[in-house]
Formats: sequence, C-alpha cells, structure tokens
Amino acid sequence: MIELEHVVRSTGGRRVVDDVSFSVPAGAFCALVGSSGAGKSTTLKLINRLVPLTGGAIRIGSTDVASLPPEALRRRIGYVIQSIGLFPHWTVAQNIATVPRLLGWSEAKIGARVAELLALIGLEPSYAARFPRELSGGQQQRIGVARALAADPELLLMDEPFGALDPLTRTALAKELALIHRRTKKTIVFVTHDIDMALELADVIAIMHEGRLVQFGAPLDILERPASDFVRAFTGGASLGLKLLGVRRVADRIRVEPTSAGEPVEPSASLAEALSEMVVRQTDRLPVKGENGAPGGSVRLSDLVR
Amino acid sequence: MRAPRNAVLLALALVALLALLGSGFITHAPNRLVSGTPFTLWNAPGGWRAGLILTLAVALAAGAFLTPARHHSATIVATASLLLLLLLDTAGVAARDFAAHAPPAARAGLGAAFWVASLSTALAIIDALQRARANPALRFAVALALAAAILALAADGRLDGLSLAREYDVRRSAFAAELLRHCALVAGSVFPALVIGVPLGIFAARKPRSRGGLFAVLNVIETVPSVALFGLLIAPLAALGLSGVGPAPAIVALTLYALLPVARNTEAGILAADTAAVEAARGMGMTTGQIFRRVELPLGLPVFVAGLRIVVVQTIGLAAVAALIGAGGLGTFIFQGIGQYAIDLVLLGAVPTIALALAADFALAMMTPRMGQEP
Amino acid sequence: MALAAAALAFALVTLFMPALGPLFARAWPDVTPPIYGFASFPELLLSHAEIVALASAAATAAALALGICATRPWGRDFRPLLGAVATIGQTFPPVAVLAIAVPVLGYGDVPTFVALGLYGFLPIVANVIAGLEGVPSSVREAAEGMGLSSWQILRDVELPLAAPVILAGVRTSVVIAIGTATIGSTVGAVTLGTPIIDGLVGDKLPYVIEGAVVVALFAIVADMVFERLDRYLRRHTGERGG
Repeated sequence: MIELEHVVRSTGGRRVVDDVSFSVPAGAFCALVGSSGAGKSTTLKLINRLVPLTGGAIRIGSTDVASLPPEALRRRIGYVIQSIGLFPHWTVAQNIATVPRLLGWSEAKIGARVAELLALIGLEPSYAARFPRELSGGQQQRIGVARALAADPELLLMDEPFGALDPLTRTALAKELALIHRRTKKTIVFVTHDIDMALELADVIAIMHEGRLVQFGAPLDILERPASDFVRAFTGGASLGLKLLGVRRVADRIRVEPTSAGEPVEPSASLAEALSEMVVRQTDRLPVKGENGAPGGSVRLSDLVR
Repeated sequence: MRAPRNAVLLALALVALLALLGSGFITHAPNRLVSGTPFTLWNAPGGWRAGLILTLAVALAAGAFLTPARHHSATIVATASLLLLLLLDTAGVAARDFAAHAPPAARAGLGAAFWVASLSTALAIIDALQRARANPALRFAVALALAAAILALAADGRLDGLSLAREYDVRRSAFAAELLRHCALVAGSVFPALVIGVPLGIFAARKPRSRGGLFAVLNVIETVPSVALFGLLIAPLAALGLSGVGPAPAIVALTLYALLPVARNTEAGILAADTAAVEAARGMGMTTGQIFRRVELPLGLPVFVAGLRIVVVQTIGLAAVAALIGAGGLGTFIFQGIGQYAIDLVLLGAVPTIALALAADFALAMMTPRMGQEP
Repeated sequence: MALAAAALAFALVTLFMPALGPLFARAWPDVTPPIYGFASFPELLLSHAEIVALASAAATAAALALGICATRPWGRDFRPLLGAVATIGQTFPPVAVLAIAVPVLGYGDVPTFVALGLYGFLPIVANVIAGLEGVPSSVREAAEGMGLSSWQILRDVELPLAAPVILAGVRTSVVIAIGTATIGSTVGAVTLGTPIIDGLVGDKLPYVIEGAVVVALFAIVADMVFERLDRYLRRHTGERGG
C-alpha cells in the first residue's frame, strides 16, 4: 500500500536517506528501526512531506505523494509524535476533532467519532471536556493516537510515540496499540530504536543503518536469517535465542496428543511465555487450548529448542 | 546574482542610500526659531566626503552578500562605524562652512537624510554585532569606542557649526549643572528604593501570603502617571512643611516608582535560587547566613541585577519629567525648548538623556554576573 | 471587588468634579474658580482616551504584523534586529521620544499620537515575538503533521497560545501611553495633563490635584481591566483550572 522507490534525502551534501526502497502491504504494521541517526525519522517524514524529497518517489495506494498539496496529503494520514503535541488551549474533544473539523464534518458526526475513539483508547467519556495539562503522559499520548485516527485515515505514521513515557506505560500502550491495529486494520509505519518493541508489534520490519536499508522482512526472517553482522548484532546478539522464543508462537510447535492437566495456554502465545509457564509450573509439558472447537494438544520443552 | 545572505543589512543600506540621495542632509535657517531649508548631500559643502559616504553605503550593501563569518561581521561593523563618524563629520564641516558665510544668528541643523542614514548605520552595527554573537563586553567596547570617537570630534571643534552645538555652547555651565543634578536625582532615588525595596522583596519571598497585598499596592503606585504622582505629592508634602516643588518631591516620587521593580526583582532573585540547592545546603549543615551568602546570593544575583538595570533606566527617564516640578535635571532643557519653540534646546535635553539611559543600560548589562561565575 | 470600586470612584470623580468645588474652595480659598475651567473633565478624559486608544491600536496592529513576520521562516532574518530595537528602544525615556517628535511634527495632538504609537510599539512587539516563540515546538510540529496550513496554525494555535503574553505587552504599552499622554499637554495636546501642567505653571494647586486624581484613577482602572482580561485569557488557554 505504501511504496518507497529509490528514495533519497540529502542535506548539506550528506545523504541522510540513501536509496531506500521497500513496500508495505495494506493493513500491515511496519516498524522502521535503527540506531540514532539512521535516517528512520527522516524517512517517515518523507512520507507525509514534512521533509522534502531529494530523489526517488513515494506512493500511497497508487497516488504519488508529490502529486497532492501537502496539507491535503497530511489530512489523509494520521501522525503521532514523541513529544505528543496536544494543543494546550483546547479540550481533549477539540484536540481529537482537529482534522474532522478541517474536513468539514458535521458536529454530530464529530461528536460521535470522539466518543467512539475515547472508547477505543480506553478512556471514560468524561475525559472529553478535560484539558491536556490535567492528564498524565500516557493518557496524553493515547489522545494523540485518537487524534491521529479521528478522520479515519488509511495510514498512520508514528515517530517513537512512546519514547517520552516511562517503561511501564510504554509497555501498556504498546499492547494497546497492537489491539487497536488488530481492530482497525490500518496500515501503520512505526519508527523506533527499540528492536524488542518492533519484534513484538510488527508484521514487517525495515532495518536502517546510516541512511541505507539493510534488511526488510518479517520478524522471524530477520531473526533467523540476518542479512549482515550489523543486523545480527542489532537484533540482539547474545540474547538472539530468547528473542526467537519471543517471536515464535506455540501454534508452530504444538503436538497433537492427549493434553495434560493444568490451565491450557493459547496457541497464539509466544514460546517465551510458554517457557516462562513451564518454569513456574515446574513441568516440561504444557496443555494447549484447542481452536474453534478442535481438540488441543500440548507443547514440550524439547520442542522449544528445535 | 547570488541571493543576499543578510537581507537586513541590504535593506538598511538601501534605506540609507535612498535617504541620502533623496532628502535634505543639512538644513540652514536664518535664526534658531525658524525651520531651515534643506540641502542634499552633494549640494551641501563637504567636498570629497559626499562621495566617500555614498561609497561606504554601497560597500555596506555589498557586505550583505558576504558569507556569515565573524571576520566579515567585524568588517561590517568597522565600515558602518566609519560611515557613522563620517556622516557626523560631514555635517559638522557643512555647518561650519555655512556659518562662515552667514550672519551669527543663522543656524545649521541636521536634516532627514542625516538622521535616517545615521539610524540605519547604527542599526547595521547592532545587527552585525548580533550576528557575530558578540558578548556584552565586546558590544560595550564597540559602543565605548564610538562614543569616544564622537566626543573626540566634538572636542576637536568639528561639530561646532551645528545648531545643537551652538545651543550647548551658550549653556555650558548650566548643562553641566543640570547633568549633575539629574544624576543626583537618580542616585538619590535608587539608593533609598534599594534600602526600602530589598527588605520588602525578601519579606515577600519568605512570606508568600503577603506578596499579593504588597505587590498590589506597589503596582497601583507604578501605574499612576508620573506627572500625576508629582502633583499628588505636593499637598501632603506641604502639610509636612516641605516644599511641593523642587528636588524633594521628585525624589520621593522617583523612590516610590522604583520600589516595585526593586521589590519584585529581589523576590524573583531569591526564588530563583533553586530550592533543591537550598535544601542540599541545609542538609549539609550550612547556617541561614551561609546559605544566603553561598547559595541564594550567587544564584539570585543575576536576576536582581537585571532588575536593577531596569530600575536605573526607568528612573533616568522619569527624572527628566521631574523638571516640570522644578527639580532640575536634563528635562529642564526639554521643557524650556518646548516652551520656546526652540528645537535644538529640546534636543540638548533629550539626546543626553537618551545617551545617559543607554550608557547606564550598557554598563549594568556588563556588570550582570553570569550564572556559574564565582562572586 | 477592587475593580468595581475603583471604576466607581473614577466615574464619580470625573463626572461630578464640579460638585467637589466647595471642598477645593475651602482648602485653597485664593484659587478661583476652584474647579479647572478650560474644559470639563469628561471632555479632557475623552480627548486623553482617544489619543491613547488610537495610538495603542496602531501600535498593536504594527507590532502584530512585524512580530508575526519576524517569527515566520521567511522573516527570521529580521528577528534579531527587531528584538534588539525593541530592547534598546525601551531604554529611551518616553518623554524624550515625545520631545523629539515635536521638531518633526509640530505641536498638538499629532506628535503626541506619533510618539505614543512609536514608543508603545516596542513592548508589544517584544511580547509578540516572545509569545509566538514560546509556543512549544511539539505543538507546532503536530499541527503541521496533521495537515493544518501555515495560516491555520497561526490563527488557531500560535496566536491563541501567545495571547496572554501579547496582552501583557499591550497592557504595559497602554499604561505607559496614559502616562506619556499626560505629559503630551506640554506640547499642546488636550489631555488630563492639561489641568496639571496649567496648575503647576500658574501655581494653582487645586487644578493639579483634580487632574492628577482623575488621570491616576484612569490609569489604575485601565490596568485592572487588563488584569481581568489576562486572567480570562489564561483560563481559556488551559493554563489555570479550566
């Protein structure tokens, strides 16, 4: 749905984004990762033209981003930034309603949408009349996400949205984002320097280093077949095995056999979660829940290391 | 053609050139009461100077195309300073030339071209200093050098032909007396204001509940127009047996006006001392006095001195108004000039007042201790 | 409320000054008439307020225009100089600016208006720049990313957020203007300073006091009104309990 073709951005003679090409399918969650200065934020901003393109082309759907006036383009894209940037002089409801109002929605439609989004991000309707400064950082960023989704954009761009929050809130919001993604099926491009978050959330990961794209693929691909030493080191080096456990699912290792006693685990759970359960229950075998009425099976410790 | 790097400088230089080419540089009047006929730069006597002035102005315009660099800024400052001094010198020479061929009552004044060009040049200097990120000491040095050069020109007699100089000439001793009186008024108000205001500020900082009432009262005083306050003090002072006119009511009023900024900046200075730093100091076992000397004072001093700067400048300005109630000072010339329709007398009072305010501002800016420096 | 009390006192004194005639006559029996007679106090107030209002309006408009330009990407080159001019210009004593306006513009209301406008421009432009630059960059970035045009960002985000600071500048400017207009009577403007100056010159103390009381109350009430406006604005930019 988003295509970047030989995208180049240079400033002051230096190529900040150097011949980057990749394609994000519709409805996918794409994480753009790399260390500081890799060019990932810049690449994101090239998509909504906050930064002008030096070379190459970017297409959303079949539309070249350069063919639309920038404001019109941005109103079709949700944008969430690390510093949140809620308008302090407007209520939560007014903040969320920003783009719908720009697009001329009726007051009734806007009101309904605000209520819908507050429910989506898990906040009480009473929050609508509050001001941003009354809210915690986590709540503010939730509003930031709601604001980005307000006009029902086809695409959501997120630039290290949880970077300014404490670790606990960060984890909670990441989980919520995953849920929102599943429910709304939006295409999301998510910039982060945290490879673990990317592995957790993304359907497809683009790894950048010094302006170039070094690998693009599903989390499992990246972990199992790193394209270079840099990718191998970046994705975790010594703890690679633990990350693999985090990405692989129980459903991939399920054995069809009579289940043992105990609380069954979900087939969608990660092998890491299964391992953790095994340690806690002091067993080397866990029952797995059946899906859609089908009988379940089990997963064994020895299967984890296959 | 490459785009100008410094649009400001280009604009200023063009404005100066337009003014010099289009309007009167010097005016000549038969006496001090009538406005003079203007003469453009090349019609006024001055010879080769006119050409040099125009060349320098064009050079400044060209300077707008230089890449921003410290040494380029220095060149611009030097060129502009030279231009400024040359403008002044040329005006002096032209005036002297007029005086040589005219009756003694005739007056040569400064025309619009002179003022616009001088203002533009001065702004160009300020702009160049800012772009070079000159520290206050450097700016002070440049200002001082320019002031010294101008005074040298005056001392040398080169500006004697100008009507302003003539007015000063006639009133030399009076000018010195009023200047001294003006400074006395300022000093005589700022010191009592400090004596009263600093404790008030400390009180407000230590007892936040009192600050509302205190600052409300001081704010009311501050809002009242100066002339009104002078007038309102006459009756109470008369009841106390003091004269309602003269320096006494002026000093009382000026002190009152200075109280609010002093108190407010003292309070701000004390609050500026980071409470965490104070807490740490207390935890280390420092006494209140030691905390004040070693933590609060060094941290709060910059804020306080910045406030002092505002107080002094404000008082210099208000002291000029005090001339209306007979307190003397440079304002005397301003109001005498207004009454006599004598423009140069007005300038004789206004220009030194402005210069005094600028000098005080500069000097105090220099003395503002930067945070992190040892007392 | 303080504002109501002050406003009431102000209105009463201005409108019913002649009623205080006997008071002044008793205290200063040799001054006749006891109440300043060249013009009525409401007339003086109106003239004074007119000059101040016009000059402040012009100054605010100019300051907004230049301040906005100086904070735009294309006008940024002029920002340092404008800031420096505002700072240095405020060092000039207002009376000196008034005095200099006379040779250029003559006597009367015009030089007073110009001097007031020029001098009043400075604190406002300083505050327009400070207010606009005080808008958090995260807010501006979010607004741009959402697709608001530059004009919409200025109108809906930057100006409302900068409003309290800008208003503080206007407040300073107006209070100073009221004071300087009082002195403007020395150059022939008809203001509340006229009775004061005439009284000082002619040694008629009652006139001085009458003029002083009215103009002092005028300034105080004006300042209090601005204070109210400031509190109202801050509430609506979400700075205090909303």
